[in-house]
Amino acid sequence: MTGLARIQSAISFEPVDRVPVAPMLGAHAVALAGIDHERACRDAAAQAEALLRAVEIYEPDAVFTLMDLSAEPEAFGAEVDAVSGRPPVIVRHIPRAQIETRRLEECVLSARVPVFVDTVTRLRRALGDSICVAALISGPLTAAANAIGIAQMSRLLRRDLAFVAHLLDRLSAACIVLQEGHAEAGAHAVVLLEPVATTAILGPRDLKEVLLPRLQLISTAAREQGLISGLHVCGDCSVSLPFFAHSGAHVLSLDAAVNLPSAQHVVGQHMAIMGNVDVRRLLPSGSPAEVARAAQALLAELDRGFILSTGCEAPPGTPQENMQALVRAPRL
Amino acid sequence: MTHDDLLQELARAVQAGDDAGAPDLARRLLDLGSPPTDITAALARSMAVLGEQFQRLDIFVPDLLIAADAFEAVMKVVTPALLEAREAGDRKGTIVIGVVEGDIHSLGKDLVRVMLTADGFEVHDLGRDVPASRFVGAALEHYADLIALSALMTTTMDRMREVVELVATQDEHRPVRVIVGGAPVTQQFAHEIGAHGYAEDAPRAVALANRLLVGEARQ
Repeated sequence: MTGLARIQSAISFEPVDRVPVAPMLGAHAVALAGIDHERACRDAAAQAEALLRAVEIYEPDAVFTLMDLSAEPEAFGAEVDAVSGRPPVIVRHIPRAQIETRRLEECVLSARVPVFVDTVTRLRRALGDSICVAALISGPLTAAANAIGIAQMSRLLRRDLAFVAHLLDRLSAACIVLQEGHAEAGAHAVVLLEPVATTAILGPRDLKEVLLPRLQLISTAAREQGLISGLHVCGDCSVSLPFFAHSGAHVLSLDAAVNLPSAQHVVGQHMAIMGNVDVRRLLPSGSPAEVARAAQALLAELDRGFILSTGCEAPPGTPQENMQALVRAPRL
Repeated sequence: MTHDDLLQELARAVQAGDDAGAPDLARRLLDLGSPPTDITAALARSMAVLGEQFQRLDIFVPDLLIAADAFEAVMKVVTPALLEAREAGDRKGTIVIGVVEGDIHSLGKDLVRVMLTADGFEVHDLGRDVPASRFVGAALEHYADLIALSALMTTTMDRMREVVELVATQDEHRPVRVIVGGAPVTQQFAHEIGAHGYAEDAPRAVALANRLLVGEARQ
């Protein structure tokens, strides 16, 4: 089986020769290649080179573009500070009056966003259909939070829900345009990053009423665009899992704060589950044996429809031996 | 409305995030001659209730934020009267708080500031993107007992180590302790950098500050 076929089978709950393994290598990959992180976020050739080197070393079943939650907000008008050695960070959010008048669908493919689309083109050209080429993009809630500021967005959720709903509609439309761009570039999959949808910020009621309809819209569009649709959420979102299960995405990626076997039980056959080896302590600071044990525990406890992965993007300080322990686990 | 009715109404207004109604109620209470400490005590109870509701997942960050806005609106009304009536020893301790250098995510820090203030600590907020030297300078200036550091990014959390190291070089006769928090921060990380404590969220930060400065275990 090819890596791509393995991923396709996993999301369809069909048998696989082994559990697919698809760590989000991003920051670790650029560090491993000795490429400046900031440069990799504005230079598609550098980003693709780093990711392809990591693919050669680890032979994963999928490769993801770098996780950069500032790219879309910058395209919408946020000010970004780019400092050598670290990912770009947003230093000035977009004033409400400005974002209300911006044509988000038209500007989403501007600033650094085309770098990530171009990276997909390069990855696909080099890898063909051997493994799944996936683009990571900001989901509408996270894009809204990073564009206008998370505190501002949180307040507006209570004080002006109509504004937030309208903004999310426009950002969802922009997500669909960006998905189309990635599909045309050759992506097999697009994963919506929604760290802001963590339960502490977005309770189950808000998730159901405010975000879920937009996620469903975007996932439906992804399927129509011929893409595998993924959704990544951070933090302990256990109480929200029944709602995420109806997001329409093929696969739900969760971080180490969630008990993955329980999550699979809740989500059932609505979505495949991806995750969730700890990236905060275990991957950068644990031993290869500890990483292998964590991965084996997941492999033993999860049923069909599982993709072994990192809980989030692997940090730059991840030892190569630890990542090897992770990717080897399903091959043992 | 009696004094007690107004206090209850004020507590409800803060919990509902009514940042226009809550200060009006505080003004009415002061006009009636209510001691400002009665008002701050009611606020503290409200924020404690909100903290418990947050930990039970009955409410979420947006609810906590608008309640914090209402709390701060009331504090603006009450503070002048409070300063007049204040006696030495009213405060549990002095805390300097801020987001470390390179990080502009202040949501968590703002919530911690409000809840520490509501619980009776004197809090000096240095804002976001704060260099290590400014934390230590402010701690010396305000005779702070505690520095509370926040970071939201893995790329900036290492700045916490700089603050801890700089604090360690200061005069041992006036020990200042450092606590840390924020999405990527863990107990393990706090231990590694030599911080005196870690809190996962705002209510736990209040409990931690009480443990360190007041010696009470309040979970």
